[in-house]
Formats: sequence, structure tokens, C-alpha cells
Amino acid sequence: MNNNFFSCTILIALLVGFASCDNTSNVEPTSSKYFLKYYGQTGDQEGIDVKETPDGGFIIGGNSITSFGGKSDYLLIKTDPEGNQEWQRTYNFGGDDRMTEVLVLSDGYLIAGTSELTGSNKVKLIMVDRDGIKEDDFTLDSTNVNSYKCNDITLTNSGDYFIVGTYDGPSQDASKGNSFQAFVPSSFVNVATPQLNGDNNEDVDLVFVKGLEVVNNYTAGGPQLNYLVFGYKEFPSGINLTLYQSDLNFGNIGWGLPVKFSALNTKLVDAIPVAEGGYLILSASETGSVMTKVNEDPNEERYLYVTNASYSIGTADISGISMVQSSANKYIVTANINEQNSIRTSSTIFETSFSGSIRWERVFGTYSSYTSGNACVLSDGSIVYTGTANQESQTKVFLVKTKSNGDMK
Amino acid sequence: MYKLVWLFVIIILLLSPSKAISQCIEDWDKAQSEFKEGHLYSIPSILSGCLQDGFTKSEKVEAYRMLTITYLYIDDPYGAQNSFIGLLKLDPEYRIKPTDPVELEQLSKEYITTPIISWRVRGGINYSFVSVIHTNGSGNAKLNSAVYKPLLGYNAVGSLDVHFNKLISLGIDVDVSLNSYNYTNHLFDDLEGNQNAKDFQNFKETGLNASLPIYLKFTYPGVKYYPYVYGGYSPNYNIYTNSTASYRIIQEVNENPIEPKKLDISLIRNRFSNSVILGAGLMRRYKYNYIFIDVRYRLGLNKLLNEETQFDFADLEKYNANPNRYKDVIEYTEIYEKIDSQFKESDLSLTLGYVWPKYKPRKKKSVTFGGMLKEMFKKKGKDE
Repeated sequence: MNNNFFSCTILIALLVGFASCDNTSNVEPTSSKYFLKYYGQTGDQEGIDVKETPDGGFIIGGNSITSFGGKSDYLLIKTDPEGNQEWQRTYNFGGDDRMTEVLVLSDGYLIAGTSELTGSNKVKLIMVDRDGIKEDDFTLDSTNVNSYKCNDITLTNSGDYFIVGTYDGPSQDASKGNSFQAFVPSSFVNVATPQLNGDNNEDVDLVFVKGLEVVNNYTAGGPQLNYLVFGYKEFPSGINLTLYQSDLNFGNIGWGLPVKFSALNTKLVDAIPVAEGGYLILSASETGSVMTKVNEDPNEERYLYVTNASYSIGTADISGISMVQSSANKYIVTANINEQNSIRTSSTIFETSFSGSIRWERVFGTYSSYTSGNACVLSDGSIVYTGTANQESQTKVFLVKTKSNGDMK
Repeated sequence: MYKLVWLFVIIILLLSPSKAISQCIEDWDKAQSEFKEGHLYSIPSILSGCLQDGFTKSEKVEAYRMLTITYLYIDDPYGAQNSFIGLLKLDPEYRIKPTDPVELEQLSKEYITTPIISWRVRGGINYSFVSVIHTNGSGNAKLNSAVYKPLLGYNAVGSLDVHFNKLISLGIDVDVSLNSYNYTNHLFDDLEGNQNAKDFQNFKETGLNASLPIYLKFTYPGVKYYPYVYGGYSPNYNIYTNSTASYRIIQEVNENPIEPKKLDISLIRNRFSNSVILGAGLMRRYKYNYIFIDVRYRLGLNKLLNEETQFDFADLEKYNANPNRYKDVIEYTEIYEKIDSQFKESDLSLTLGYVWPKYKPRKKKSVTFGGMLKEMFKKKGKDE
């Protein structure tokens, strides 16, 4: 009997011993590797852009409307590396303010967007410190009545800003078209007038979407700083993607011959330099997305040429939003999935090769309505992306972080 | 004529037991009288008939007691042992009375009157407590404004106790429980990150769990009450978990509630977990069995959020393979904006129960656990 008793005691002791206890010291928090977070306040907020900050956290740029029928304000949300909000601020200039992008500077952040000012839209740059306190702001071409819309801002190697977008106003004429490029020094002083560009055909809408500062390795002339502008022209008969190139003194020597090509009647939404050389263009329509490769020719001064390769990516209902390279021949694309016969969209992020083979895909908002903003690949290969989550009568900002392979586990 | 015959038969049948009962009352009185007068040798024959049929259970217990004492007095040990066994079969935990002769007390010490096993059933209520290991949350986890509140749940338990002796037994339960708790949180901080958000989440989570606790129990052999304490281990299996979700969104002064909905979130719960159990209770003899009250604390050891599947719904490949599998979790996460923290769950239960001890009164000798099991599962016919 004693043997039985002790056997049972030992059995129970062993069972309890084997059943290890989970606690904070032996269960690793998952929020450092992946998470889904929501941010906002009263009213509607949307997530447009996200960047990694020097402290390992994230800065999310977006828009906010806090009262019914109210005007939109710029929205900036700072989080820690696990997505916990540290602060959230809005900036308004009286009218509708719409965020385009947020840049991380050495001592703060720069918001680029379009603000409604005294009847016309202007490109607005707002410099804030690390705590989101506004230090300075700048309005492009503030004295002119032209309306501008900021589509992209690039931080140049010199620390200045290269801005592209569209414009509309009295100074628009048939010979100049309806897009602009501008170079804004970081000091916001001595800013040259934006250069207006377009097609001679009034029926054509020219839209500059993306601007890049690049080095042209033209063999004869040696390395030369250039600016590239990617956009599209919408003719009544269809859409052509366009590339413009100018040298360091753009605006003085004018534009080189634009490169035009058609990519399944899609509009350009993003363009990135790729590590393997050349550029990759993401273009989209309501019924699909296309990637197109643009290569460099070191023997040609105007050295870009379009390869014949354009590949559809994802399914036919995917409309691309942004693109970023994750590793060799791997690209992270954010997009919206347009549900047929419905105003509802889902937000998707996926990794694809140039040829369009999708390695993994994550979808959010399957039963509600989510839309995608931009993505960002972090130094450890993991990925964050932001967007907008529709909740009944309101919208909120979401932020998703996945591992480098898209896993959230 | 036939009717009269039938009526006669029925009357005879109705009268027979009462006649037998009245005969046994007479026999019992006679036996007591003989016992008092010391005419012991006639007692076995007086009682034998009614012991077969006629005495109630308590009368039989008294009759066997008288017989045992009689045999002890007339120096018939075999008769005494047989009579005492007869008594113990009816009342296995027969307690020596102060009026019992010392010979009977001595005889009783030669017998094992501890049950071999006991079957138990019990039912009652529980309260579940959540302890968070790591806070996730759809909002700011550092502000940790979530509140977990225990809710009433229910237990239904069947048990088997294997008794080593009067003090120590090994208990094995089959415990089916509904465990509930409530989660509330306010989402979205103000511009400064202060915790004064107004959007209100409310989730009532209910899990149906089955567990197989195994524990060692120490019972104090009291006279009327039998207090006990026990401790052991419990493997648990989550059969399903659902969450009744509601979410009120505040737009200025207007509320925009999302309709409450019961969602199956079993997919994002770990099915298997382990617990340590500690408990105490009090048994009281009721007729020849027991009733008891039991208080048990089940300390959850393992995390219950399934991190492997928490965001599986977003994996398009998996979703496309079985969209319905993920529907409720998608709504839970994306519409009601509930991102679960990693947590453990413990519960405190209070149950009332009934015990059927199974005895095999026998003379003391060494007994093995295997032998007991063999005895337990021996066919009844063979047993007898």
C-alpha cells in the first residue's frame, strides 16, 4: 500500500513538474515581431505613409477629420517599436489638409501634403521636432493663384526636397501641360518657382506621380546627378506611362525626351530604384496591377529605356498602391482589392517577384472595408504597412507589422 | 365467482408483508428478551428468518450486531466473524458504540472498513480569473486600460476516488466546465496620448472545457464530518470558446454601436493546457453514503492565446482554403478590433456533491493496488 501511495505521489509530482508554467520570463512577447494596431480619435482618420524612426519606432502620416462635415487635418502618429502610440498630433491650416508623405529627418519629421489655402490648393511642407511640435512650415508658390497637388517628395542627398505633383490654374497653357516639379532647399529660402510641364495636347492629362534623385553613370560624361520623374499621360484613347529625365540643373536646360510606353492601360502609382540596377514601375487600374522594368544604358546620355517586360501581378481585382524592394528580385506591394459589385475594398500586402509570382499575401478588411497606404521594409527585413480601417460610420488608421516572410506567428 | 377468488388472492398478497413485518417485530422483541436473559443459543435461530427477509436495513444492522455479540459470548468465532461481515456489508463504516462490548470492539479492529473506491458526482459554480502574460491589444498596450472581470460559470464533475487507507486517496475527475469572464477596454487616446478614450469595447468570453484532474486527497476521519484537502494536476482541453462582442463608437455626442454578436474564437485558443489544482471540502454522512461541499482553485499554467493562429485569417492562401473557418475571427479582430493579449486563466469553483463509497469489508491483510483493481473489475457473478 505504501508503495502504491508513493508511486502515485511521484506520478503527480512528475506530471506537475512536466507541465511547465508559462510566464513573462519564458513566453516571448509577439508584439516585437508582428502586430496589428489601430489608431485614431473621434471621427475619421486615415493612414497614408509609415516610416521607421531612429529609435526603432514608427512615424505614421495620415489625415484626420474629427467632426462631421469638418475639414481634414494632417495627422502624425508616433509609436514605439511595438506599435504603441507615443503621441498623436494634428496640424491644420484652415482648410482641407491632405497628407502625401512623411519623411524622417535627423532632428524630426517632415510632412508633405496639399493644403487648401485661400481658395487654392498649395503644396505644404511642415517641419516638426521629435515630439511632433511644429517648428516651421512652407507653402510652395504661395503668392501665385495656381493650385498644386503634392504627389511625391524625395529627400535628396543634399538634404533638400524634390517634389512632384499636378497643378491647375491661369498659368496653365496648352504648351505646358499640368504637372510640376520643384526643388525646395531644406532652409525653405530661395525656393525657385516650380517648373510646370505638360504635353502640347490640351486633351491630355499629365500626372507626375514620383520623383527620384539618381546618379547617371553615363560612360562618356561620367557620373552625373539626375532627377527622374515618373508619371502617366491619359489620352482619350488610353494611358501611357511616362519618364522624364533632367540633369543637376534641371529647370535651366529643360527636359529631355520623355519615354512613353503603355502598360495595359494602367496608371503609374509608384516607381523605385532597384538594387540590381534600373527602376521598377508599379501601375494599376481598377482591374489589375502591372510591374514594368526600366533599365539603364551607360552608353546613352539619356540612359533610361523600357524593357519589353511588363507583368501583371496578383489577381485581376488588385489595384496597386505602393511598392518597396525587400531583397533581390523581391518586392513588397500594397494594394486594394476591389470587391465586385460592392463599394467594399480589402487591403492587401504581398511579396512578389518582377515576373509577378506572389510568394505570400496578407489581406485585411475582408468583412469590413480597409484600404492600403504605404509599406516600409525595416532594417531587420520585417515589414510594416499602414492604411485605413472602416468601422461602421468611422475610419481609423491601422498599422501592420509582419516578419520578413510575411508571417504573423 | 372468479372475481371473489381474485379479490381473496389480492387481499392475501397485501396482508402477507404486513404479517411478515409484524412477525419480525415479534421475533426481534423475542430475541432482545432472550439476549437480556442470557438465553443466547436460541438467538441465531430466532433472527435467521427475518435476516433473510423481513427486517429493514437498519434492523438488519442491529440484528447482525446482536448476533455477532451472541457468537462472541458463546465462543463461536466463525459465527461472530460471519455475522460481523454481514453487518459490515450493510454498514461498512459501522462505528463501535460506547455500549458495545469490548469483544466486539476487538473484533472490529480486525477488519478493513475503508472503501476501496468512491464514486462521486458534484456540480456547482465557478469564477474565472485572467492573468495577462503579455499585453497586446489593438490600442496602446502600455496604457493597459483593459479590465478583466470574472463571471459566473458552471461545473459538472464525475469522480473516482481510489482509497489507500482512511486518510489518503487518489482522486480522478472528469470535469466539464463553462468558464466565463468579461473584457472591457476603451480605444483611442486623445492627441496627447492620454487615456480618456471613449470608444468602448465589451467582450464576454465563454469557454467549454473538459479536464481530467488527478490529485492526492487527505481526509480527516471525523465522527460526523470528514474534512479533506487535496492537490494535484489537471490536463485541460478547450472544446470551444465563443465571445459575445460589442463595440460602441463615439462620434462627438453620438454613439454608433456595432451590433453585439456571438463569435466562435476557438481557432485562436490553445486547445490543451495544464493546471495545478488545490482544494478543500467537507463530507458528511448521509444515510450510508456521503454528501459534500468542495472548494477548488485551478491555477492555469499555460498560455491560452494561440499565437500560431491568431493572424492566420490574414494569410490569403489559408483563408481561400476555408473561408468559413476564419469568418468569426476576422470579425472579432477587424470589426470589433479585439487583439488578444497572451493570457492564462484560473478559476475558483464551489460545488456540492454526493459520494457512493464502494466497500469490500475484509480481514486485514496486505493488499496491492493491482489486486484492488482486479477486485473492482471482477464480474459480479464471480465475485459472489
